[in-house]
Amino acid sequence: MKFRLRVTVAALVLFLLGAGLQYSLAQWLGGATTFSRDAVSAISFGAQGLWFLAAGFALSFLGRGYRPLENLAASLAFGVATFFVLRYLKPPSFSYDRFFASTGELVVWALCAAAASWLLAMWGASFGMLIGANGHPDPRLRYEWGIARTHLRLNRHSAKILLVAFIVPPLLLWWGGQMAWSWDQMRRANAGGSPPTLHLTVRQIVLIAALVVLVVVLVLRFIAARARLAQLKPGQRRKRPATVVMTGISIAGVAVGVWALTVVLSVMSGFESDLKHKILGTNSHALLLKYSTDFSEWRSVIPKVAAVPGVAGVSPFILNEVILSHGQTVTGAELKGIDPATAGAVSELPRQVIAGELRWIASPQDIPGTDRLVEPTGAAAKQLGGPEYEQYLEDTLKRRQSHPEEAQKMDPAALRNLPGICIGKEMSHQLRAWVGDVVNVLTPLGEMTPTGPVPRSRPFRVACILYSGMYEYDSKFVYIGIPEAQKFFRMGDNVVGLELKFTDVDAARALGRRVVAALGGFPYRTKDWAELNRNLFSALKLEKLAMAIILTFIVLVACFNILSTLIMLVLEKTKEISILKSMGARDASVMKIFVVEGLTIGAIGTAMGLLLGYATCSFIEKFGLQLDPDVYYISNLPVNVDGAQFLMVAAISLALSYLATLYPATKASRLSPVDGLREE
Amino acid sequence: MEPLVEARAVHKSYWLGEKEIHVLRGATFALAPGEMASLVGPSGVGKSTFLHVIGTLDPPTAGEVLYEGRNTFRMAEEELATFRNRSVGFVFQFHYLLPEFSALQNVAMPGMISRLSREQAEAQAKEMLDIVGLGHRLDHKPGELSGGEQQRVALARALVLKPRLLLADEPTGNLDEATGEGIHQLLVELNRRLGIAAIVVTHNPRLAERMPRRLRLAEGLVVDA
Repeated sequence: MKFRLRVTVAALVLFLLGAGLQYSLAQWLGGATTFSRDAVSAISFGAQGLWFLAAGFALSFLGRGYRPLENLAASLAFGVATFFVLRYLKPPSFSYDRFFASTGELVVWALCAAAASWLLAMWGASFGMLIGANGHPDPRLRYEWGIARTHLRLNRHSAKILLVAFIVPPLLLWWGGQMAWSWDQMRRANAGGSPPTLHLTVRQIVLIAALVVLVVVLVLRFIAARARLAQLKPGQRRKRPATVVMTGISIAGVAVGVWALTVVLSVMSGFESDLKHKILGTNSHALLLKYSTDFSEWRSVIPKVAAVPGVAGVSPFILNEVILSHGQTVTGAELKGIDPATAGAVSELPRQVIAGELRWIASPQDIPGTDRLVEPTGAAAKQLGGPEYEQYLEDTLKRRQSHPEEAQKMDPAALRNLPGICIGKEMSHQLRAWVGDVVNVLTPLGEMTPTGPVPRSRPFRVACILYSGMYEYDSKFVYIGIPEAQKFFRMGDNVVGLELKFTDVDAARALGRRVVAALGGFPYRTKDWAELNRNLFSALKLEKLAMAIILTFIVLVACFNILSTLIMLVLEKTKEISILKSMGARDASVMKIFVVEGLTIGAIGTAMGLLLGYATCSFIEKFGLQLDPDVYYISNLPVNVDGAQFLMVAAISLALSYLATLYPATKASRLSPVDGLREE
Repeated sequence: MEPLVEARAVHKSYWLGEKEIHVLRGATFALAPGEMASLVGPSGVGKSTFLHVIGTLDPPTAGEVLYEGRNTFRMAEEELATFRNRSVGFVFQFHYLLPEFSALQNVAMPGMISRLSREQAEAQAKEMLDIVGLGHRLDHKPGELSGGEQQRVALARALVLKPRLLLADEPTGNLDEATGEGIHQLLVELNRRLGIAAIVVTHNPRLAERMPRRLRLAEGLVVDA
């Protein structure tokens, strides 16, 4: 009794230490490093989880066994302690209508803490049991592996089959996809024309011939093997136990789950990085703002900010809402005043230009007149190419020729001196304005006259067309030079703030704090890109998490396959287990045999799934799955093959496989030696 | 002389639904080191159960089993496993060899379990297979051996770590008379050569007669016949 109490107290102390570790690690990381908040909680809770695993492992030695009841008691006490500590610490609430977590939320937290500590400790204890925590530790598994191999029928023959299973499906996937793709390309190229003809190179012919020969040989061998089998008398046939088939099915199940998980996560993170790329192409990493409308000292602030380590670029900006008109068309817009010389240092703006030049907004005399059409150039323009766009340009030219009135209203010298403005591609479509056209910018913040407020307006000449790939940006943002904006909004020598670019995007929040600190704090403040686009990214993150959880269930189901296969194996091998035990095999050794089996099934399935996933992703990356660009504003399905993500999937799948082995392996290890001997 | 193994008032009962079946009712006996005994008795009287209790495979309901003066059922799981590995060898009516392993690997298994290196375990196994006369069939799988050969391999496996006690549960029960005779002769010879104490359960009265000591199990008790 005293012993059990001691184990319980030891477990409780270890759990509390783990919670303390998490809290202090989170505090320290938050203060001393530039990690994002998500990274800090991931690291600190990860460390706590590992601590709990280690605690369970240690407890299995202290308590000489699993000790589920003592662990449970300690976990419940830990949950209660968590509740009171949380009530004292007042964590923020998940709900929007309150600031601190309610009692109900705290109870949920405490229950989660208790459940997590119990599960993780039991999991850790299973490692302890495996290496013989209840006696002399013995991590070797030489003969255990030998026996596990015979259970799984892992020999030269099955290794060959496995190798084929590893190589053939990804290759087929790749090849089939490539075929479909080139067929589709041919169909597009000959749309409406004569039926497509196949053009094969010598290499392709040789490849196809080799494949055909291979298939014929394999089919013939299979037929021959079946024929040999059929000639055998029933007694001569080697029976294949059901567990061998089940093992194969389990491997396939894990492979399919891992495959789905990797492909979906890669596509999701492809979308995310595409979005991030587009947002950060137009926006800087952070904005330096001031709690005041007076930012006239910006010229002296820029070098101070640029000197802060981690800052890669600084550029001033002005932002205001305006109305744009061209001819009869009117549209609302966000007018941004930028410095064309430094804008390239904080965003991708110069590289988004598809027609004209960004620097023309500072030197409007260089903007060509409407008498000639500026052709699209640059990488973005190539993407846009196609019959529709050529049609648009043709229409523009015709329109200019038939309605030359805009250009003729003003005298040519004044026209050439009009300030330049850059507009997005979608806005160019809406306004039917191309490089050289004159657009009117109108601000509602106009002058007071005896008849009431009158909006102020000024003509600008389109200096360049931008394409960011985000519909929202391409239809809303227009850019002019800082001096023009100051004049237009009558701000004196003020700017709204500075745009900042950092060396590390993901550390934007912490580096922003550093910049503010370097400027002496208040009234300066920063807003990073994640904060500015919080809705978008949190929706995306939530979606990805939900997908990951749902698809993890596929892997989980596959692991239930492993579980049932192992239970069948234990039943089938009861006699063998008894014999091994009568020869002196320890309980831990018997457990090892079945854990190793389950892990081998999981590992083979995971490897296959990863390979299939990699083949699928690189196929999508290379050949692309076309999306409707009007709906998604992306022409191809994006994928992002991330090694860390693949590793994470592998870890999840192996961890689940390991969990699936515990019940049957423990069951097998507890079999009495006579259980299998009595049956004859 | 201190007995090698001693059973003191061993009771063993099973529950068959609501009914308790008493198999052993205070069986008491002792075996000296190097002594060889046969155990006879009608079918279902509990000979196998007695052997299992002596060999620590099955704990008794009451009573104790002492091996060299130590109470075996007081040992921890791990100690018990080491005891089964080092001190007793079992031979069953069916050979119970692992079908996927060769004769050599099967005989090396107890050595592997006691964490000898593969080379050491296989060297000992080869030696023991030579002793039982199967030095030329090392790489055959059990399915490729005859019944008598299989039982010889099982015997080699039981004796490879040189235990002091051999427990044989009808080792010839599944063999024809001539082959069974061969196995018996081998048992007697091994007893003489290696000094291993043995209890051999048998149905064959002729074979039982030849043992130096004859035991009979009747009404849950072991008596010298």
